Amino acid sequence: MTNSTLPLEWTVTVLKRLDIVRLLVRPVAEVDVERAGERPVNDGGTTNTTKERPEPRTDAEAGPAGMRAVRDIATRYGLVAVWIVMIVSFTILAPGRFLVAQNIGNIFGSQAVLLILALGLMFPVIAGEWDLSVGAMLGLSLTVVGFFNAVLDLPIWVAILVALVIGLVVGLLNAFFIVIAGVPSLIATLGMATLLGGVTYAISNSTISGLDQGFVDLGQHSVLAIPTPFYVAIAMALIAWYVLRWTPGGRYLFFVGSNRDVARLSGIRVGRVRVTALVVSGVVSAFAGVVLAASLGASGPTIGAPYLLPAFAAIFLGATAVTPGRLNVWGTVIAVYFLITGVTGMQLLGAPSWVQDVFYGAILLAAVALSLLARRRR
Amino acid sequence: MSDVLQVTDLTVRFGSTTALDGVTLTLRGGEVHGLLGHNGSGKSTLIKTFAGVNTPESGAITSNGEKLALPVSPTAARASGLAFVHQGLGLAEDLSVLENIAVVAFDTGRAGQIRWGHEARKAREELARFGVSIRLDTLVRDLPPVEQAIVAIVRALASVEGPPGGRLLVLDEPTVYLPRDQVQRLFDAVRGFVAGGDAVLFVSHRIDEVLTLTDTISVLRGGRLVATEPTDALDERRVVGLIVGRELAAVAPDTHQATGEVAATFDDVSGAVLRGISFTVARGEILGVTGLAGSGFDELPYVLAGALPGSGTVAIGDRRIDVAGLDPRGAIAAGIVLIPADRARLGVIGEVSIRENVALPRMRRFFRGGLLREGEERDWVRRLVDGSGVLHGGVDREMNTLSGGNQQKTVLAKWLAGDPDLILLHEPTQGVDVGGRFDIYRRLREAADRGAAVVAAGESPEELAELCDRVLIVKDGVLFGELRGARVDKHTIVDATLSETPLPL
Repeated sequence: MTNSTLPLEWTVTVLKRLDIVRLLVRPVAEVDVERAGERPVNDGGTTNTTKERPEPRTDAEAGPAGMRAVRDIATRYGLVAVWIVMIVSFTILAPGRFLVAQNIGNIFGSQAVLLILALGLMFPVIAGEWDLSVGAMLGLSLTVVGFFNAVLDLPIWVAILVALVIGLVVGLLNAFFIVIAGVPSLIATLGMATLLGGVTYAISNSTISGLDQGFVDLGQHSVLAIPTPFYVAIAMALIAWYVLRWTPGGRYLFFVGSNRDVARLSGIRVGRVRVTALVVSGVVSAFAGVVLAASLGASGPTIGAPYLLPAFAAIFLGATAVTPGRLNVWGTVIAVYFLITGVTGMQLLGAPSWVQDVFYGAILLAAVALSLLARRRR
Repeated sequence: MSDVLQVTDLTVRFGSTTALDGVTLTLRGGEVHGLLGHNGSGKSTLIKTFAGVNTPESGAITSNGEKLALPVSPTAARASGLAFVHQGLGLAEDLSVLENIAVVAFDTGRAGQIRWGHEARKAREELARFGVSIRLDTLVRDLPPVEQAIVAIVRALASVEGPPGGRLLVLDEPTVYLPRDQVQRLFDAVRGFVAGGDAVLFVSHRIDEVLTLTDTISVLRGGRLVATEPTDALDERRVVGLIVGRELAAVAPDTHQATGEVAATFDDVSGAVLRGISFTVARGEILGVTGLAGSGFDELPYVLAGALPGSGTVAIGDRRIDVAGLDPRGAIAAGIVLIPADRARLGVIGEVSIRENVALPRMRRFFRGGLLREGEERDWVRRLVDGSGVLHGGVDREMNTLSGGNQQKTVLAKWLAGDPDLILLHEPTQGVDVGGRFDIYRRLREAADRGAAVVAAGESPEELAELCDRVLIVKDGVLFGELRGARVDKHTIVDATLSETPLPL
């Protein structure tokens, strides 16, 4: 098991499996992915009447109902199947090390922060805006909690409140630049991410420990061998699921991200929806930083930023499952644990730590590219 | 003068439609040649064939004596001096005049740098030839419209290599966005240009302009070239006769009076092209609005629904709505709904379910006790689309699984569900097959019978005659006439759009 090429082989195998799943399934439209760049503003289609569209495909091509049902299930739960295959494989390849209580608890607990961050990120991405500042916001929030609580010696609830208010303000600032000033979200949040990174260093350029003991105990306490942050993350997932799935707001968000003109002409307050989405990701990122502070018991200026890419990888990989073609909460939950299973398994098999970045990057590229290719084939 | 471009027996087909049918045309140097024809007569097809967009089935295009390979490649078009200026001009408004002109073919120095000094000298000379002297660093958006048009012409010419005296400049509806008082300046510039031996093809809907400017006029009808005659030998009446293929009927005043209760009053409505349009619609009435392309008629539904900027007022019952402050949300709240022509871009989201598309404006109604009642939503949408005769394989299927006609019926159902007071449509049956078309007419008639006012903007005289009780004609952004009763037939509609004498309102 010390063969150094093994982790790469694993990466390739996992990607191949993904590929097979994607080819089995009904091609889906990654609406959010494709639209997140520049989009047309409404010019109303006045003078030029458009050409007729080719006749869309008819139901006859979809195949018999039985086939459709099978394919539907393969589509919705393919990622889960691959995940299980991965767990079984690692259990066999690393006997007594992978599928043990401590490792499982470790996997679930360590990813709670990433899951919370990804859940918040879903809101702007569904609404058609990139938010590249979530990692930096998480880092700033972590440092603010540490600084206010441990350095300024203020009560922990004050530190938490300050962090959340900063998240709100950052969300509003992003919204101002993107929605009011019209800066493309990619640029606006890239600038914001860099700015927040600088502010984080200005507050503290070193590790801060000595946070409120009750707070840290809470963050490091385990229930059923799984640390409390996991339960917090699952509660957040339930809230996000409720909002996105069971309120009109979730539907508005999706329509605004899919076609802003159709949304506007249907009477949706498009600007308000976009602002709300960006504020949600700001506040939720700050909250993820608070949870991270509790589970680490310390803060440091370099911890937040590396969370950005896995969060994107998770939401786009999640969009290939459960309700394929749409970013969705349970897909994101599955994807987060899928990703960490892959990383942990490979590390147990002796892979060097850089494999983690290769894996996350490759998954992000593969998940988005495959769904776009599938769309084009249609 | 020499022949700059010769078109021989050119035929272009799109599927089973013949867009151009054996067209033969000669464009001579030193001449402005007018090309006329009604909507869909083949004018754009001809220009696009010159530009290489369309592939002809047969025929030949000869430029300065040399036969061009078909379809015309962009390189060949450039080399033989074919320059195009389209209606929208296609200028980058935020760049300078010089940057716009020198955008296509730069003179570069040894290091690959653009020789801006040299480019500037060339641009200045060219602009001077058209009687324009402006600072080259002026932003295009700061120029008056006519100078923008001339910059577009100079840019088109800068991109071609043909010899002076052998070039062809195609002007496609260049005056649509020009204020009336600036048109003459453009004409002077065009006359100056052909004096150098080059040719101009002037494509326009405006018969008076074509009669003023051109030396020769060709008329297309149904894809065939029906006449090429010296402008001197023609007058408006004859030209219109050639365009429609018969004598223009004398337009008699209409004595019919509207009797229905007024549903909506529109006062002084303006938009990008529309200028101060005022009219009323009665309850139960279907009002058509038409005109030539570029006249602004198709802007009306969007302006009235708050989808495009505009001004004026709409009065529905005792409510007065200021169009300037209107957005689609406000319009919907006021009982005004819009069914746009561009279904794929503005009407529906194809990748989303029928259910979600239809329920979108009415989500609140299914949100009770903190939960979206999806079952109720599904039942409601199903009842609605079934009641509208939409053929579907389940309302949870993607919108894309429906045919064009069924999609349009679905959009109609979406908006008629709220019993609106005013229904605005643009090209109500675009991309809809014949059967579906009559279903849609019937739905609109039923909505009108329930007391809604319907305003339908469209180009097709057949459709307007079939659907409407009354038709307004828009010309150059203003209300030009009105047809009622027996006069709502397709010939009269065509005649009215072409007429130069205002019809009685």
